[in-house]
Amino acid sequence: MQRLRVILLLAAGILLLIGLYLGGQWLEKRNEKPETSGDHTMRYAYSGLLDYEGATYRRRGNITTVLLMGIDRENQTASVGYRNGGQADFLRLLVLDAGKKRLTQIQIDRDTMTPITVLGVLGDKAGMRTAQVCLSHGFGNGREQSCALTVEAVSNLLCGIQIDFYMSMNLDGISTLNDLLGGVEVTLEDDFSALDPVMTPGTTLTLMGDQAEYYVRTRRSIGVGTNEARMVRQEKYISRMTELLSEQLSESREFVGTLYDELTPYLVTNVNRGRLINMTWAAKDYERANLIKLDGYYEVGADGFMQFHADEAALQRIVVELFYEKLK
Amino acid sequence: MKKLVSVLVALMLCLTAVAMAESVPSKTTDDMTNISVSAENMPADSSMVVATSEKDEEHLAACEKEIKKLQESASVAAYFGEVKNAAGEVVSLTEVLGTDALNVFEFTTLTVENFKEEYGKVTANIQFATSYTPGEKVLVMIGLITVAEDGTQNVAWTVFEGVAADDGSINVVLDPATMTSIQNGTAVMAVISK
Repeated sequence: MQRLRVILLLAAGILLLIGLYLGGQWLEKRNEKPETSGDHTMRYAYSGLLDYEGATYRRRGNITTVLLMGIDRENQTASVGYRNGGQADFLRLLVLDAGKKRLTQIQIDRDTMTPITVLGVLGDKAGMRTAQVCLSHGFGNGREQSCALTVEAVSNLLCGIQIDFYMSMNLDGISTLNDLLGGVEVTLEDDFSALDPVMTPGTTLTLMGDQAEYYVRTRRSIGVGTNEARMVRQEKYISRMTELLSEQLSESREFVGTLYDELTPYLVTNVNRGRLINMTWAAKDYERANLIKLDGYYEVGADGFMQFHADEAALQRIVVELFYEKLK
Repeated sequence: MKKLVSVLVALMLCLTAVAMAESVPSKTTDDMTNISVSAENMPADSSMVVATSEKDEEHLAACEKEIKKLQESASVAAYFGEVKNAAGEVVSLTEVLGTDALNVFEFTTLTVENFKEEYGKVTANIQFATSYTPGEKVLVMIGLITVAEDGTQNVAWTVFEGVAADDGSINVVLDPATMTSIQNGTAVMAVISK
């Protein structure tokens, strides 16, 4: 018995030595491979090179991108069938350039045609299709998955640029945001009394709760009933809202956190609270560049829906100017 | 900081406001499915319509119930079980498509209005959200839903062979009896592909 124990111990010892030897060999072989950090070619590959108009450009660092999405779905609970995520009817890309200390916004029309990923009814990938970019959010679970598909679609449109973060907000958030700011004062030019008796033409009032939604949302039953008229109303509201926000922020730096907390039920985002506060703090003195609107043309597609075809050359120029630098 | 946050929040507000354009025509994923039809003897002034049902909640719920059943099935073939073509012959889904790996990317409600038997066979061109490979053979499954007294929902499936057109849509020919059944009942449609 004692002898057997000795033999077993010896065998275990030999196995251990063999294991150590093989492990050492593996480590030696692994270390023989060149370090990628010392390889210039690899470094450039990681940086991202682009040939544009006869010159070579390299992707710049220190750029953070945030895609803002406005979703036309009543709530953002998970959808059934992976086809009911709601359309991303508002899309805007914020480009925060820490190197140039500049904030640039790219406006993206919801009808911009670009390759989007189509999911089957069971949620598996059914392929790519060129369609209105807003539809990309319709696929998926209506939350993170849908946002990821929209991020991909916008990246496809913008020559494959990396989009770091997204913030998607549902319609229900408007009243909350309005009330967080203590309401927004407007003078009504149209008659909203069918929705709220106090909202009569000529009245100046501070919109509260649902009133804010009536004011910025309703179209058909209000005034001339055109989308243009509503857009004018919305611009007035947003302008006043921005002033109120600036006032609130000058009083308290914590307001970003408060906004984040209060709007969380209406938001789907991959930016956490702390990062948002840090990002906004870091960008507090950035220059605000003019809003970039994509060049292109509109047409009604064979299916009767509007399509916007972005000018590819202009798109590439925008991407190169914002995200790349010329190699000397 | 206030500048950026103002931009962020104002934009979030703006985007929700714009998104609220309940009256502005905005294409949805439902709009990605379009059906156009022609029939052997269809008069020029015919008002026949073959479409998906977007507003009939009961119909949609019945369809979603089937999608869920499919999702929970061991396989696509297991969900459909033994299926027959319009001639009543049993069809092996895997044999027709030449693969054991069957996919269902499309599953939707289906309605028919103003169809008359004398129109004869109907050729439907269906553009789905999924763009199929031109020339690809698919199986268009037409299911008629019935609900038993105990509330159990059942579907009787009939299989039709379809072919993908150059634009990725599917062309399929449906017989008059099936058209009439769809018109008089509650129907769903699924597409099986490789």
